[in-house]
Amino acid sequence: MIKHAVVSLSAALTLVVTLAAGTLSSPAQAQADERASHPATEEQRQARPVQQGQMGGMITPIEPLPFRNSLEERRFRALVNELRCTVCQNESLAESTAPLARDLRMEVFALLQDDRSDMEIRQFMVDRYGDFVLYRPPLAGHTLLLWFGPILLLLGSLIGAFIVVHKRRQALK
Amino acid sequence: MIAEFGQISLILALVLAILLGTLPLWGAYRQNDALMNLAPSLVAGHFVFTLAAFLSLATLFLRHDFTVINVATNSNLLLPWYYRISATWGSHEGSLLLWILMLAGWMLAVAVMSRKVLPKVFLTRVLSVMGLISIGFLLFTLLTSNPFDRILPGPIDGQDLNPLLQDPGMIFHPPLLYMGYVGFAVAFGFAIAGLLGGRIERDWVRWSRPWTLMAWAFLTGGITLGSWWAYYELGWGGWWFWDPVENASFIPWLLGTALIHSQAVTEKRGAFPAWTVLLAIAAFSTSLLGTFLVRSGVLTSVHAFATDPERGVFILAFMAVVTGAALLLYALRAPRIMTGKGFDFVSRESALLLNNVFFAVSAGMVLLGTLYPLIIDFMGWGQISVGPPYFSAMFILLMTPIVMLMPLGPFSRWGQDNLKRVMAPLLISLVVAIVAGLAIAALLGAFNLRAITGWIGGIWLIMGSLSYFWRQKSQSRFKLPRGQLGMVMAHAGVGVFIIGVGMVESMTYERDVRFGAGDTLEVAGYRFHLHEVASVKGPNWIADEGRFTVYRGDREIARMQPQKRLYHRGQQVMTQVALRPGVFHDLYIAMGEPLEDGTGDWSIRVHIKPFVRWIWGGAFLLGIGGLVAASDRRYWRQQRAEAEREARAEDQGAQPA
Amino acid sequence: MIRMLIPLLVFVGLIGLLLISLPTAEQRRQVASPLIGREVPNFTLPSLHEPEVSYSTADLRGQPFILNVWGSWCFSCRVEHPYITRLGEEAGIPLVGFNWRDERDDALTWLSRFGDAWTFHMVDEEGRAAIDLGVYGAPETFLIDHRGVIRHKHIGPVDETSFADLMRRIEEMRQEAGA
Repeated sequence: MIKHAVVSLSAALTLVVTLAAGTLSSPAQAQADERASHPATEEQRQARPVQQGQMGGMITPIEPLPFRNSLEERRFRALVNELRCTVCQNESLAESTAPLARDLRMEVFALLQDDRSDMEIRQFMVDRYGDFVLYRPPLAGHTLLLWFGPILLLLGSLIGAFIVVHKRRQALK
Repeated sequence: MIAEFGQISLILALVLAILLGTLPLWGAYRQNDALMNLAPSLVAGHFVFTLAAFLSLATLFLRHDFTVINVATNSNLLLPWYYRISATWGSHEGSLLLWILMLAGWMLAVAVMSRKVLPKVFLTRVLSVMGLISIGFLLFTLLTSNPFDRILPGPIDGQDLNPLLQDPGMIFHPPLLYMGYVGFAVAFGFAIAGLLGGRIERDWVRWSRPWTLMAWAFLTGGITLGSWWAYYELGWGGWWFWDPVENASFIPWLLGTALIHSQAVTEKRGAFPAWTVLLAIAAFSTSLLGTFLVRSGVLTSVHAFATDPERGVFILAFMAVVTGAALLLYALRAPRIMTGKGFDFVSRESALLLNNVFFAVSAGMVLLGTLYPLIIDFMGWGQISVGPPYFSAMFILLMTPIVMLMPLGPFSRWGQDNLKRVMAPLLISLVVAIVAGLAIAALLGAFNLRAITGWIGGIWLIMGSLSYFWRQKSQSRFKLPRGQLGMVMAHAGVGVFIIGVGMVESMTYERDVRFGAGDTLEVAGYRFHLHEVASVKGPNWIADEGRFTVYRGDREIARMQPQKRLYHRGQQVMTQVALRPGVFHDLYIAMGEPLEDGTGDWSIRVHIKPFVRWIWGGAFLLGIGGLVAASDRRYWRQQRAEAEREARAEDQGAQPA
Repeated sequence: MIRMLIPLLVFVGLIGLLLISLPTAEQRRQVASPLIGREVPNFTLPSLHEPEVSYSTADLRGQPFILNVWGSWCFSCRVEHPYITRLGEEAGIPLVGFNWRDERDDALTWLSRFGDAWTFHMVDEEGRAAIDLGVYGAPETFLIDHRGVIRHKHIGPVDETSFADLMRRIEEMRQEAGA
């Protein structure tokens, strides 16, 4: 019966893959495709940051930026997603439409153009706005409990569970 | 008049809740039948009046009664009727009313469906405890957050409902979520009733299992719907943000997951009774904690209600009373002697214990991360933010081992087993998972750690669950019990979910591009063509709409119209994304803004999200599995006479051990 | 018995933490600047009234001064305006305006309408200098001593209480500078 399951599932998965592979190409390829044929990626046509009105509501900041390559673009996304916007409720720079968040995104972009490392860019923000801007808190004395607490709790619980099972084994005999 | 009617109904509901929380409980203590018999009618009355209050508020919204503050601030003349109904629970006050209605509904369901199953003393205690919880929420509503407050003279027109909430997903997300939160009140009620009775019987756990499963299934559904809503409504294309408010719903879910597994051990083998009780208390208490976090403003969140520290103090006090009393009772009366049969290291008990360790620790981790900024502030160590990078890393670290061990659980026997025997039927699945996982990832061009882990882990879970299903089916002459069927569905659902997460997190294509009318973007074999940006008008908004046609090769496969909406009231801007959902990937377009260089071009975000539906599909399967398991006939078949007998025996030995 | 009390104790701790944190929720929304106690970053910006003239923070070294971040688009700046005016009249040290992300014409109209008690204004149209200064909203008021060290930052509109606090700190800085 298990064989039956294996066969049917394998068949199903093969079908999935065949279908999916037909409709999806790798991102590396995707990047290349777009670079080659899309007129809008010409770097001269890039927009300068748009001044926001003083409006509320939820909108997404969408800015086409002239990245030099896809690695830089990925680094940019990773950075703005890990940096917290200081004026907003609880949003990353990537998510926020606040004018300051826009300035800071542009600053991150400029620093990337300046060939600064991710670490330097994060430090740049911390120097100006403090640890508050890091969504990934730095490992330091005051965050030891945060980073190691769950692991200690897990180890403690596992030891506790071990003791429990050890005791309960006696009841078997 | 309707507002006053609603107000009076709410007060009457409070009176009935007070009666329910006291008289029958006293009756149960004194073995007074007459007082105990009051409980079901009080529950019914309580439900009727809460329903009346809720319907009154809905009617006020439908009839545009702007003399009611809540209506004036959350609705207006242009709002379509269906959003006027969902606006009923769109505000803090209205959502509390929904909470109370759900609680009343669960109480009624317990009273009706468990009447034949539960011993009277026990049922009475459960209902009374839930009545006590209702008192707190009714008082909270009436004293700090009255939805029926008037403003005279009322404005001619109201402000608008937050445009984010003007969405079909928002009609169903809060009710489902509250069904889950409040549903844990049933498990809580059972736990307290059990503690009051003095002994945790295996029967007690059996009775509470289907209720816990239902609550957990609704919570799963609610969270899933919320994730889906955030995906298409916020325009970020993300599906989980680890925001404090999301965490607030996730902590009870994690504890609830631990609870449904520990209940299995306690029911079948009588082991871990105290732990099961503690989890039931914790699951509901963290639901209350979530309510506090969302409404007090103690943490900053994107989705919080308009917050008010005064309300925060009330909920905190309420939580202190409810959970404090429950934990005190636990300390006094929880069974301290190891009960039940013994078991070995390799056994079903150990497997479920391991599950509990990991889920409880994960809940602790999420709680710690969510509250850590408060701890830092309290200690005067400055300000930090704990965000998605922390939670994702920790969660993956804590969940990977347990997910990898998951298929072994069902195959292990109660009491004593050996690893060889457990693994034997799974070897094929494991081999297939590794081979197929690697092959699929390679074929999809997704040969990275996340995608490979996702595929191997996902297939391992699906295969493992299915092979258990087939083995049970072939070994048993009877139909597979619903409990097992639900378990298989849920575990396979986790597999589907993991595949989705692995693919989305590693293979998402996302790019902000500049688009002018006539521009074309070619990506991953698709061609996105923008014809024009047109102005369109809705009932209460105007919008710029991008008209895209998507081609695959030369074949037109979709027309997509993302919008940038401007809602008249409050001049709020909203991004309405265009989505083309698919089994293997979604196409996703969001409008940015017109670029300020006079060309009339727009900034547009294009996403291609592979297997993103599998995330919600898997989570949905998980929830359905819970419901299927809850419908197992075993839970509902108990003869009342038999149950009564057991309960009498229980009460005679009612001293804590 | 003790073991069974652990959950209750943990819970009491949790409630305590939340109770203590509730009244301070507003304060947590303000991000404390890491620049306090450090030297003010050096930047040179054009003047608002005379665009061809530019000022730099280095020019101000040797005397304490106030740096007030404002914009004509900022409502709270109008709210604090009377107190800023009093600062200009009573503080006895330069009150420097830091006009942030504004349009020159709007800023000048705003000043002529509400009054201009600032010693002079620097214009940061692009917001680059503001980032160096760790500005994240307007209004913000910095106190900088004669050695060029940022001593204090007030976030949000100045009111009666914060005005008194600022004056006290300014007095301190003046005495240090005099000594």
